[in-house]
Amino acid sequence: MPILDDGQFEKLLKQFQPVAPEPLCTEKPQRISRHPLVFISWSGAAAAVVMVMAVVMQLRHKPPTPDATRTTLASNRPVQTLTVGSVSILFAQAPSLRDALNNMAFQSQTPQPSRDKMSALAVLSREKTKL
Amino acid sequence: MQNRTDGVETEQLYRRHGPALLLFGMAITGERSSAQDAVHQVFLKILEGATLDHVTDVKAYLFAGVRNTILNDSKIRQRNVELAPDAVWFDPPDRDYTGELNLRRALCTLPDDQRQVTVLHVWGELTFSQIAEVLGISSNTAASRYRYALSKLREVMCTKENSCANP
Repeated sequence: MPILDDGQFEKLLKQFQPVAPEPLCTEKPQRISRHPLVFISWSGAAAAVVMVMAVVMQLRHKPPTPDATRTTLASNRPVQTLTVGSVSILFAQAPSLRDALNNMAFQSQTPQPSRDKMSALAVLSREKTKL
Repeated sequence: MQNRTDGVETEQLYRRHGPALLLFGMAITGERSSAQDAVHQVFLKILEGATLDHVTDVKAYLFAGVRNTILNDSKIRQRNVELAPDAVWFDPPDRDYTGELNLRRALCTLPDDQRQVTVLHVWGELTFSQIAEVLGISSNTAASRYRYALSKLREVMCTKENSCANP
C-alpha cells in the first residue's frame, strides 16, 4: 500500500466534498399586493349586497297600505251596533282618524227586524189614532 | 466597501461557503441540525442588516461567526460532544460511501481542536493565519495541530482500508 505524502493525502481528503446545507430562506413573507381597482370593485360589490339586503328587509317588514287595511276591516268586521266599546276598537284598529270615521259612517247602525216582526214605528204608522 | 450586504451577495456567500461552514459546525457540535441552525443564524443576521464594512476577511468572519454562535449555546458548551454516527458529512466521490464513513470515523478520532483545524484548512481552505484568527490561537499552533491531525488521519484511514490509494 503506497504511503501518501501530505500533499497527496490532502488531495485525497478534498475529493470528499462536504454536503451542502439546506437552502437559506431569504424570502420574507410577501404581502399580497392588491390592485386598487380590485379593492374598489370588492367594496362596491359589498355595498350593493348590503343595499339589496336592506331593501328586502324593508319590503318584508313594510306595514300594509291603508286601502288594504280598510278593505280588510270592512270585509271582516261583523255587522254590529255602534257602541262606545266598538268605537274605541275602531279607532284603535283604523290606520287614521279619517278611516275610522268612514268605517263608522258606512256601518249600518239600525238592526233590521226579522220578517215576522214589525218595528214599533211601523205599527204606530198603521194605527189611526183619533184625536 | 459596502454599506449593507444585499440578498444576492449573501446568497452567493452562502452557496460558496455554506458546505464548509456546515462541516465546520458539525465538527464542533457533532450533529447536523445544530450546525445547520448556527450557519443559518449567521447568515440571517447578515440578511437582517448586519454590515460587513469592518470585516477584512469575510470568509474567516463567517467561520468565526458559526463557531461563536455554537459556543454561545450553553447546552452545547457544557456537554461533551458525541459525534452522530449516522449523519453524512460528505458527498463521496464515485459513491464511495465506505470511504466517506471511514473518513468521518477518522475525523471523529481526532481531538476537537485538531478536528476543527483540519476542517478549516482542508475544506474551508483557510490559511493558518486565518485559522488562528478564527480559533483565537497562534498560527504556529494551528499549523502544529494540523500536522498532528493529518498524521493521525492518514494512519487511521490507511490502516483501515485501501482508500489511501493514489487519489
